[in-house]
Amino acid sequence: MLAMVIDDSRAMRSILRRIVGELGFDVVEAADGQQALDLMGDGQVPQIALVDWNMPVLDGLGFVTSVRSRKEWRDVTLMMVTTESEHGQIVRALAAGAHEYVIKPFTADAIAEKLQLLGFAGAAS
Amino acid sequence: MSAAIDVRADVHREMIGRFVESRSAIVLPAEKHYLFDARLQPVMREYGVSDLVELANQISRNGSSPLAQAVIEAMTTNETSFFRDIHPFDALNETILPELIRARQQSKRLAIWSAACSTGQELYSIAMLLDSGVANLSDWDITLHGTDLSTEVLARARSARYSALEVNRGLRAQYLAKYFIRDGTHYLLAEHLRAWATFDRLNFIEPWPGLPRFDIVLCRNVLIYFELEVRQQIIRRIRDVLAPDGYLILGSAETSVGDVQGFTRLSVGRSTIYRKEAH
Amino acid sequence: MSEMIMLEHRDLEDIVSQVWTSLMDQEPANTAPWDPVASDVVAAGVAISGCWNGWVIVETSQQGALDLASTLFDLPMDEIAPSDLADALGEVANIVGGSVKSTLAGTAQLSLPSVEQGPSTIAGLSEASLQVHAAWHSHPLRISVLDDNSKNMQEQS
Repeated sequence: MLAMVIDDSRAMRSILRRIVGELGFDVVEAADGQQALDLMGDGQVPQIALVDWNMPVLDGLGFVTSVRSRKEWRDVTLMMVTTESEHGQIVRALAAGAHEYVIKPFTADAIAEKLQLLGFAGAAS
Repeated sequence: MSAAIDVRADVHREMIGRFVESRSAIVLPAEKHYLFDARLQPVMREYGVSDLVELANQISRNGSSPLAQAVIEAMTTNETSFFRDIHPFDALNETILPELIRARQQSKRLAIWSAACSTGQELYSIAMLLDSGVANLSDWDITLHGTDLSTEVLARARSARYSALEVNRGLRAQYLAKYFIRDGTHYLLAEHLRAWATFDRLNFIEPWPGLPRFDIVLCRNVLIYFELEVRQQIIRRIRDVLAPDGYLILGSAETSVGDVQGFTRLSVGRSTIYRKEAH
Repeated sequence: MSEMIMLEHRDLEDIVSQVWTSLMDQEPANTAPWDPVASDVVAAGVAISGCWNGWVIVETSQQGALDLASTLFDLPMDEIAPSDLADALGEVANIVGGSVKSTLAGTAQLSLPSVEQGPSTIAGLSEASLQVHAAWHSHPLRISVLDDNSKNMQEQS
């Protein structure tokens, strides 16, 4: 299974890569929403995308909206991983089509449990 | 040199373990150094106690002091999170709660006990299921009761205030958005769910305070710390406060833990649930 | 009309403790006041603008920043490039800043982080109303929350 990690911080991408890698996913990275869309357009369509909100070029909300507008990407699970915790913003992200939402700071267990909630079996051993 | 120090420390861990056991019946193997040390360090820091030797001495001098109580609470604390282990909550949501709600249409009364509730997430998870389910329970008498040995965790449970790290665990984003508001550095559970919950101190091996008749009792991942006889006694006492058709839910790793007497064992979804037997 | 930030010292300590718990192996310890060599300091900051205006700044020593980056990237310290160091410290400032922003009652935006060698050049930092001094792996740490008084007062008048 393929996971896409989308965050403008290489350090954060590296952390998330390790976490989902250990849960059995192959990982592809993107530094912003546009790069992520380009990779998907090139055929690298993940089963799950972990998406930061604040990014240059195309932010997380823009990415989620784009993905959910494409029928062929309907099965991609979208999980926000962000510092943004304003209630209105969480509601906006879920309304735009994000399936789950993780607030930074998070632990590896939190990610594993969210993946289990989303039906990725065996994620939370 | 270090071997001698280890042996000494073990003797004191054993003493502390025996003390905790005498007051709570909870058995903690002294070989689990990391468990003892990790849990006792914050208490030692707070009370200015320099090492295990001094700690053991102080509690043997006064077993009723605030320090002694803090030691008992630290050693018997139950780790918890929202919707922990998920499957029992699926069983509750899909089968048990709908069935009980149907069965209680006349009395419109539902009472659930989370025993060893710690900081309350188990109980509040059930509250979220009840509120977001199809049944309209606005004119029902709902009792969600949490008990624990530790006054500190009970206070936190009553406050229903959780950190970012805590709300990240096990909680669906929809529930986060629907039921929590930010409160400074923490997240506060919605008032109408908090209003269903009460919390009280209860030590399994001391006399129990008066309890209502419960439809469901959850006692997860705590009975494993008791000796078999004490476990069976606790289960008997739980059975006594359960309604005739009531349910008992234990921890997922506890299903092979001795006989759960007076109950029928059922498979509900991916969970093992115990139902009170008629006799 | 902009609000003064309601954060207390204890809250900032909690935030730092949680961020370090989630990212590193160990929480920072409380320590003696901040006293590193000025040229040895690395600072990363984010600006918050909206219902409240100000900055959240994380400062540490060069070694501290290397150690931090080494932990986040899971690489030995001698494989950390200057850009990695800036990225890692910037992300820490982003998460601490985001946590501070989440305590605001109204809405606000977080800037992308900026990183400087040498202490932060933002005026008035040493008199910041809210500051946590700590040590992690024996490296000095200073986390500050600073009001942008000129902006905050402008919006009030």
